[in-house]
Amino acid sequence: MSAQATAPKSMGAVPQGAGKGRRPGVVVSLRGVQVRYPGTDTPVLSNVHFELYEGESVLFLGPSGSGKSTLALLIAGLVPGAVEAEVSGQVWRHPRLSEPGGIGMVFQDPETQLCMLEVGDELAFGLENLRVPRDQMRERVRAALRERGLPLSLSQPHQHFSGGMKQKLAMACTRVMRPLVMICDEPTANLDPLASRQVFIELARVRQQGQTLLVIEHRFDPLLPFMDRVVLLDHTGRIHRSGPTRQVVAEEWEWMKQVGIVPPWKSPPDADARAASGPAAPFRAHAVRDASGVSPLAARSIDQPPLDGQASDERPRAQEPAAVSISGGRLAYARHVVWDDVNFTIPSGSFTAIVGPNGAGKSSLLQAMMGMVRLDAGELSLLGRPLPAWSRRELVEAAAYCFQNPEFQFIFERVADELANRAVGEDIPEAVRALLAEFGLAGTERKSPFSLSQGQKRRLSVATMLRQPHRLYLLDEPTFGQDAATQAALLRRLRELNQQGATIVITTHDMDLVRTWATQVVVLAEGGVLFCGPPKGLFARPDIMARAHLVDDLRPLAEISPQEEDTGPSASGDPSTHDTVAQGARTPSLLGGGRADKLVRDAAGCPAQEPDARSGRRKPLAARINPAVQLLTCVVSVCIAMAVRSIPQGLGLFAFVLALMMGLAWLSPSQIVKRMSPFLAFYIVYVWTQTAYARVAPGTPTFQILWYHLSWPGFLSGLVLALRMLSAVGLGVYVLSSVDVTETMAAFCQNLRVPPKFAYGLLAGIRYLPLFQDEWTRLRKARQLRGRDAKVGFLRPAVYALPLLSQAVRMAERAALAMEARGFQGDAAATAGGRTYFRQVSLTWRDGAYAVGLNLAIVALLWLLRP
Amino acid sequence: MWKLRDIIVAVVLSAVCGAIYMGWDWLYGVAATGLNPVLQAAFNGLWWLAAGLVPYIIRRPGAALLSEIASALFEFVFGSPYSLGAVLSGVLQGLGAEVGFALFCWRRYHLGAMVLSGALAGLGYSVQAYFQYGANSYAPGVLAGFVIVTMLSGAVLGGALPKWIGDALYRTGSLQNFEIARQVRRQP
Repeated sequence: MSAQATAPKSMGAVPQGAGKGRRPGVVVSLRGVQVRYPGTDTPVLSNVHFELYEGESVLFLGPSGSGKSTLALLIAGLVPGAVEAEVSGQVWRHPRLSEPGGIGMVFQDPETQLCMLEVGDELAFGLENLRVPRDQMRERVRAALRERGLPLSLSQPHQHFSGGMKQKLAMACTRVMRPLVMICDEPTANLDPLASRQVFIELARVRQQGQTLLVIEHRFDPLLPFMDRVVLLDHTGRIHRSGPTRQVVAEEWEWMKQVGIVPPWKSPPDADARAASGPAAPFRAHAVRDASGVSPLAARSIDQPPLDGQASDERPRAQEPAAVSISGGRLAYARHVVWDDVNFTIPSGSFTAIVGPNGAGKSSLLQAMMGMVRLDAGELSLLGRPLPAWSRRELVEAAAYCFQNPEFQFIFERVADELANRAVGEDIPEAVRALLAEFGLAGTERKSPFSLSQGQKRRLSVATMLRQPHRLYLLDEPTFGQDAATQAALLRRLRELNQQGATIVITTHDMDLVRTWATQVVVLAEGGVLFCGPPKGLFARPDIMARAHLVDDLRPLAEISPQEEDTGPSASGDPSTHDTVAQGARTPSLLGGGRADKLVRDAAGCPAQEPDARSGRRKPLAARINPAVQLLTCVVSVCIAMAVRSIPQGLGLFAFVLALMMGLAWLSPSQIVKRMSPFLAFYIVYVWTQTAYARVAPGTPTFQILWYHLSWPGFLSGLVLALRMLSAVGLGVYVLSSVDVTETMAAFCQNLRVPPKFAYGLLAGIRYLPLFQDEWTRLRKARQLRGRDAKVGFLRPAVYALPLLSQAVRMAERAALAMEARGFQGDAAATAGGRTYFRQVSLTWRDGAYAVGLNLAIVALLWLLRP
Repeated sequence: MWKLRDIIVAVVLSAVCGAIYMGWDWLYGVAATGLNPVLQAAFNGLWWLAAGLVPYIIRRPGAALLSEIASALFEFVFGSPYSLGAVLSGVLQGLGAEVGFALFCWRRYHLGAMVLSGALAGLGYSVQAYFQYGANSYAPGVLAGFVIVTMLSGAVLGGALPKWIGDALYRTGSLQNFEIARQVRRQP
C-alpha cells in the first residue's frame, strides 16, 4: 500500500536542495540522503553527506552491499530514473551534469557497456546523443583515439577485443564526450592482472589530464597515489569516514579488514611497499582474523595460513599416489594450440594454484582433470589411475568441480533442495539447516538460489560441493568477484579440507592469494607450463612473472615498463578469443556451433580481415539501396510469392531471385549454392506432406504405401510449395548479403523515423548472441557433472532456462544502463530527430523506384506464367 | 511507456526464442516428416513462445507483436529454412497474440489471458499456413483439425509455458525492475 502511494512521486522527482552556502567549485552536494529500492525494506544508502569538487579525484570503498554503486548512480543522475528508487534528502547536482554527456560512466563488465559493432560507431554514439554535427564527429572520434593512444581503425569491429582493450575503448567513449565528471565503477573487476594494470595506467593518465574522477575499485593499491580523497561506506550504506587518502587508509586499515573491504591477511599498502623491496618480502606470517563471522567451524582450526611450501613437506606422502599427474598433455581447438607438452604433478594433499594470463587455457586444464575436456595428446592420471579408467560415477565421487559461475551448478529452485540434491519439501532436514548455517546462509532455505547475492551464491555452490567428502577439489576462480569477507571464509574452509588430507586445485589471478595460501603453483603461459613449484620460487623469478603476465598489484604504477602497455591490433588477436570461438565450433551448440557469431559478423558487413575495405571497394548495386527499403521490399516480395500456384511460376520466380543475387548482389554461383544447400533437404518434408495429404479430386489415381495414399497432384503441389520457399530463402540470402546491420538501424531512424531506442535497442541486443553461445557451452559442461540429476531434471526450467535467462536479463539491464549513461535518454532516445547520426543514410527516389520496380516485376512475371 | 531496459530485454529474450525456433524448425523437419497435418499442428505453439514470454515480463502494449517479429527476424538470420517466410509468420502470430492481450487492455496477464493470446496467435499462423504452406489443399476435416490443434498447441506452448517460465524467472529475483514485479508489488 505504501509503495503504491509513494511510487509515482518518487520516480524522477529528485528533491532539489536550495543549495545555500554552497562553496564554489562544488559539482555535487548531498545532504542527509537516503535511497531505497522498491521491493526492499532497508534503505541501501542512509544519511549520506557528500560534496564533490571540480578537479578532485575520490575513491569509494566499502564491502559488498554498502551502496557504493548506488551512490555513483545517484551522482550520475541515473538513480532515480533509469533505475527506480525512492530518494529523500537534499540532492544538488551542477546543471551541466544533467545535460547529456555531463557524466561519463565506465562500468565493470566490458561486454555490456559497448553497444555498437564497430569502433567508430561506438565512439560516435555518445556524440550523436549530444547532437554534435556530423561533420565534426569524425574529427573528434579520431582525436579521442589519438589522445588515448589506441591504434584502432574506425571500421574495426570490437567484438573480439580483449577485456582490457574493451575497457580502454569504453574509457575513450566517455572521454570523447568531454564529461564534467567521470565515474568508474569497478572497471577492472572482470580483468586479469595485466589488463587491470593497463586500465589503472589509463585512469592515472586521465587523472593527470585534470579530469574530475570518481572511482569504485576493490583492488585499489596502485590507485592510491592518484586519489585525493577516500570515502569509506559501511554495510548499512552510511559513510563511515571521508578524508585524505593516505591518512584515512592508514588509520582505518583495521576497520577495513573487519568489514571485509580488504582480506584479513593483507598488510597496509605503505607497509607492503616497503616490505616488497626486501628480498624475503612476500613471505610474512599474517594473522588471520575472523572478519566475517561467517564460518565459526572454519575459524576453529585455522588461525594462520601456512607458510609456503610447508604443508606439503610436513607430512610424508611418499606412499600416496599423486593427486593429478599429466605428461605430454596437449590441447588444441581446430588450428589453435592452447597448450602443448604439459608435464607436471600435483602431490596429494597439496594446495595448488594454476595461474597465467587470460586465454592461456587454465580453465581447460582444470576441466581436463575432470575429463570434461579431452586431451589431444598425452596422459593424465588422477589419484594414481589413468583418467580413462575412471567411470563417471566414481569420478564424481572422488573429485568435486566448482565452476566460475556458481549459477551453472544450480538445478533446483530452492536453496534447501539444492543443498540436499533432491526436492525436500517443507520439512527441511537438520543436516541441511546445519550446513546452511555454517555457510552463513541460514534463512535462505526457501529462496531461489538465483536470487542470492554473488557471495551467497558462491558459498552455496561450495557448500553443495562439500555435501559429500571428496579426495580432490577443483575450483575455477573461486574468489572471482567476491568481497574480501567471502574470500576469507572460502579460503579458510578450503584450508581446513586441505588439512584433513584433501587435495585442492584452484585457478586464480590473485597473486596475493597464491602468496598466502598455496603450497604449489603452476604457471601456464605461452602454450605450456613455465613453472611448477612452491610460490616462493615463483616470486623469485621476475622473468617468468613477466612472461606470464603476472603482475604484483603492490608495485606502484610508476614502475610500468613500456612493453606492459600492450595496445592495438594484437588485442584483436588475443588468444582467449580464439579459444571461445574454437570451442563453439567444436561442440554443437544451441546456435549451431560458431554460427551465430559468424552470422552476426556477416550480417554486420564487417569484413574481419580487411577493416578498411568498406570505403575502398566499389559496392554492389544491391548494397547501394537504402537498407531499410531493401529489407521491407523483400518482405513484400515474399508476400507476393505466396501467389505462386504452378510449377512454371515457381521456377520463374526462383530464376528471377537467382538473377537478383548474381546481378545485383554480385554473389558467385558457388556462394549461392553454399548458402542455400542446407535448406534443400528440408523441403523434401514438404513435398512428402503434400504428396501424402493433399486433398484430391475424386477419381484421381493414388499410389498406396503402408497407410499413405500418395497422389501425383499432391506431389506437384508439394513441389510448388518447395519452390516458393526456396525463392523466399533466396530473397533472404539476397538481403543478408547486401545490408549492413548498423546502417539498417540508422536508416530506420533517419528515413523511417523509428524511435532510436527501438532501433539501437535491437542493435545492442544483437551483440549478445555470441555471448549466449559461450554461456550455453559452459552450462552444458556444468550439467554433465551433475550427472543423472540434471538429466532427469530436464523438465525443470531451473536446469537450462533459468541460468541463461536470468543472466540475459541482467546483461540487458546493465546494457540499458550503460547506454543511458552515455546520454541515450530523453529526446535522443525517443525521437529520430533528437540526435545526430555518424552514418548518413540517404533515401532518394531511386530507392522508391527500386522497391516498386522489383515487386512490379515479380507480379508481372507471375501473371505472365499464370496457369 | 517503453523503457530502454524493456526494449533490450525484449530483444535479448527474442534472440533466445529465435534460436529455439530455429532448432525447432529442424527438429520439426525430422520428427514431423510424414505425420498427419493434424498431428504436425501440435508442434506449432512453440513458434510463438516469445509472444507470450516477453509481454508477460515487460507488460507493454505492442510487446507481443514486436517481440514475435524480432524473434522471427533472429530465426531468419540464424538460418531458418523458412527464411523471410518466418518473418511473415512473426507478424501474423504476433498480431494474434497482441489481440489477446488487447482484450484485457494490456492490464491483466493471468493464465486465462496467456492461454487466450496463445490460441489467437495460432489463429494468426493458420492464416499463413492456409495461403503459403499449402493448408488450402487439405481436406476440410483435416483443415479444421489443423486449425484447432494449432490453437490448442498455442494455448499450451505459447501461453501456459511462457507463463511458467516467466514465473520461475520472477522467483530468481532478476525481474525486480520490470513491470511483472511492479504489478506484484502493487497487490496488497
